Amino acid sequence: MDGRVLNIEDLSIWYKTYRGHSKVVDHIDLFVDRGEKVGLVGESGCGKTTTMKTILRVIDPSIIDIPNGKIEFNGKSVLGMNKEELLELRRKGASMISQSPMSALNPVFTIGQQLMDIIKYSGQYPGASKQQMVEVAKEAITSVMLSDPERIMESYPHQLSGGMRQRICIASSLVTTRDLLIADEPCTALDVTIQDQIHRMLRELVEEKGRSLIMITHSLGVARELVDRIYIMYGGNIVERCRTKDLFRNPSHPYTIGLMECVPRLSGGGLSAGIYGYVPDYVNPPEGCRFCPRCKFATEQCRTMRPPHVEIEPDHFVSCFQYAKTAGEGGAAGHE
Amino acid sequence: MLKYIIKRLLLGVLVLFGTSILIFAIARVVPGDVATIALGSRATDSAKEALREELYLNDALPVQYVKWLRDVLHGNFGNSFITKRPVSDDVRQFLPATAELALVSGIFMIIGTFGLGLLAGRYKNTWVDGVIRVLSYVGIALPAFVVGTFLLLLFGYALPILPVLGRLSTGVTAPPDITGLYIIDGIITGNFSVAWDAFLHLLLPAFALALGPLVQDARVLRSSLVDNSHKEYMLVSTGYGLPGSLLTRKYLLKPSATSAITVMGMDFASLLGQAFLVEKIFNWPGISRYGINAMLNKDLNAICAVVLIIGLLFFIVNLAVDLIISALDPRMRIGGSK
Amino acid sequence: MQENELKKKKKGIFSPSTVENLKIYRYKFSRNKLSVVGFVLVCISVFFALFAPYIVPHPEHIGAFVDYANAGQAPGAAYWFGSDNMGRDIFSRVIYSFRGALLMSIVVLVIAVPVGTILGLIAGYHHGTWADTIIMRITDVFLSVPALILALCIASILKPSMMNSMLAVTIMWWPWYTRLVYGQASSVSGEYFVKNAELVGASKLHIMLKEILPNCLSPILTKMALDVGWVILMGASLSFVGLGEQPPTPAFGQMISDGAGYMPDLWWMTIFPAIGVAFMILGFNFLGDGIRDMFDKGGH
Repeated sequence: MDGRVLNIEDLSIWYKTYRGHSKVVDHIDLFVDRGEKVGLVGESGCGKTTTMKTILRVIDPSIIDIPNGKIEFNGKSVLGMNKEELLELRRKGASMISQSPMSALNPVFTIGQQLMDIIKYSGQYPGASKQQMVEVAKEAITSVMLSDPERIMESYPHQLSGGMRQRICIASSLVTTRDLLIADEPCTALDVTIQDQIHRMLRELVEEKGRSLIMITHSLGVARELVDRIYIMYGGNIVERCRTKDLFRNPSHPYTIGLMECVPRLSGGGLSAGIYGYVPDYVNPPEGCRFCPRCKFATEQCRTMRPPHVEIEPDHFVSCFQYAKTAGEGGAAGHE
Repeated sequence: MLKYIIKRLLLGVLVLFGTSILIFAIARVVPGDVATIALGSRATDSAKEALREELYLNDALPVQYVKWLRDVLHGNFGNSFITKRPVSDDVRQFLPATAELALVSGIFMIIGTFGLGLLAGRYKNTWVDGVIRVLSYVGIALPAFVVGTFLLLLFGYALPILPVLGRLSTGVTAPPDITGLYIIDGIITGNFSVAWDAFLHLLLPAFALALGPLVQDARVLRSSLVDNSHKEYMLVSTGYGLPGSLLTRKYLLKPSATSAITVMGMDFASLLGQAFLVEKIFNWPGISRYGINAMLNKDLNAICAVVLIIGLLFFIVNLAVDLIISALDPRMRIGGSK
Repeated sequence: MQENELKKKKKGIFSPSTVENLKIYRYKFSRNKLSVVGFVLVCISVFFALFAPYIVPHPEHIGAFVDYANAGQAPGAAYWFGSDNMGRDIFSRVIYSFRGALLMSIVVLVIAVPVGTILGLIAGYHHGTWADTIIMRITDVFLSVPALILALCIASILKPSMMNSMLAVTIMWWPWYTRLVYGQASSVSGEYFVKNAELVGASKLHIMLKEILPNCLSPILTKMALDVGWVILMGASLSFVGLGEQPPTPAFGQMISDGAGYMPDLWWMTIFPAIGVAFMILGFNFLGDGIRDMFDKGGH
């Protein structure tokens, strides 16, 4: 527990909708150690972003319910924090890079104004003069490989391209020191060449300062490049977690296997079938395993009961009935 | 930016030119003989003929218009049929009262919109928000002249704590004419009691005019505050640990204000229109009361003058609103990279 | 969000029938309880307007009727809203006033909306040509002075009557629709389906009416519903200064203005007509909001 930055246990998050509770996050466990890079992988709308926003408590509390679970940040319960502690967490503990750079910057203030406020209120530069803070901001802009920081400081978001805005978002998360950086699909809006640059930059910036990283992505390829450990999330559940290399060596949950098949390979016959169907209805989710309606191995048991977490090899957990009887044996069944 | 302003000004001149044609046309399609309307049926033929000459009525319509416009551009609107004085003198006498009323109503509108709008946004879905919502329905349902009538009755009979008629109490002499706005003139010349008296007289008519627009615009501001508070950039800024007051005051209010200011600009038009009735109710000696009396008595020269002046005033307000909005929103004044 | 996208996808697969569309509209409309209230208020208003002479307790009081013996009666069993200075039943007169107000808004919108829409279509489709310039500058001129002021102007120049007040308001109302449709039409006319229609040689009339107009309908309908309230307000304003319906036929503005002279003693002469006009304006506003929600693409 010593080096554990973030620890989430049995967390559920429900959105209040007119149809009832939309149970988008359902009993999840997740932890991040100091200096560790963790990937959270799943298709759009499976609760990844909601979970991360909840860590910083930035979701309007009137639209969600958190019926059970706990979030601990550096050993302190986030859900029980008062206003000051929460500000402290947001200023020094964790920061988040939004998945939509086009809308993550306030359109009516210059980049400089926005960066300066973050620096000023982080409390990490006590007694610094305005000039010193400007220097910090410029340095942050330079560190994300943008030239001409003076001009950028004076620009409004709409004057910058998507890639530049994304870098600014990263710069604003890195301008002050924080234990944990949450990168929420930072490259969805960008083209491939820039994606690669930004991923490399992220990794360097994180490793350089000994921070922890949670990388949210829907691409296993990205996760493989970047992170030490992977959580596979489906329909509000964590269905599989293990070290990155174990996952690629031995993907075990039917959903993970489906995801793997989605990655187009250069050799081999083009695109695969992928996974049929849509993410589940969160208001009336399937009673048993949430993946069951899309799973080709589903049995009667899957429809009625929640699957257990099974450790199929050291530090490799899968939430599926296939492995419940005898660990290891079912793994093979999953492959074919 | 300067180019934009110049373009707007030129367009405005063009439109006002069109307005002059429109109002001139309206004033000349009046059924019946203009001279008879102006002088009454008992006037002598020679007097009528003199007036026809004065109004260029013997010329063809386009020629009439050109000659009339030439006079107007020289500040000569002709004589009023009723007061028998030059209309420009009447305008000079009555305009400041309306300017003062419109200004104070405008200030009420701004304070009320932002005050109530921020309150409703801050306490959304609580009883505070509910009360403001109900107020906005009242504002929609009760036109300014109805509010004015009720206020007149309430404060005239039931609760005589505020003056209801005119610009000053009887016995109080107007301050020396500097700007024509009694409050400001009173303060400049040190006649504070006069300024206070003028202010009290302004309260009810200004409130009657401002109430409808302000409660509705507060709802507009409220909904744009609420909409924007769910925007990604607000979540992001919150996530960086900026204090709540800074978030609302700066990061939320500035992008949200534009929509409210836009509707306030439009509502100012209805305010100027309703002023025609409200000034009549409160016997406010302004250009709108002068205008409505001119209309009811077919005082054609005065009607043209009043409409043109209101058009000019409206144009200035619209321009000011556009400038404020482009000052608030950089997307309006600087092009993007794409 | 996701759910909505899902619904959209499903719609794509099953191609919704008109019935289903209507169901969605009904759901979106009735989601806001006030729209339903508005609908009820509007229904009542229309009922009053249609059947006023048959349902009021004293139909004869609508015309030139004088009964000084019963003048100035307070609201009670005989006269629900009291009686005026000439002994006429305020209730009957208020109910009858719904007629003029509704008639006015129908006449104004029935004339102003098509005129404004057609001009807006022409200007928007011929975006950037002389037709655009002329139409839109004329529109600007009409919008350069607050509508009520020009309407007062026109109504006062003509003989004061119900007809002329409707004419005055109509003349001031079309430019709003021209501007609305213009904006919509000029953006739509750059779309591929319009270009396609041009390529296959469709006539301009066909393109404007069959391709562009349907894309402008929902803002037009929304504005119409909200405008009914505004027309009623403007009509009441005109009649308040004596430029609308002429006595003895009652109208809201005229009754409020008459009553003000008998305040505070005969307060009911003012209050009840004011409530009447507020009733109608609120009803149409709530209904308009509901129609706006109905056409709103987003929302849950």
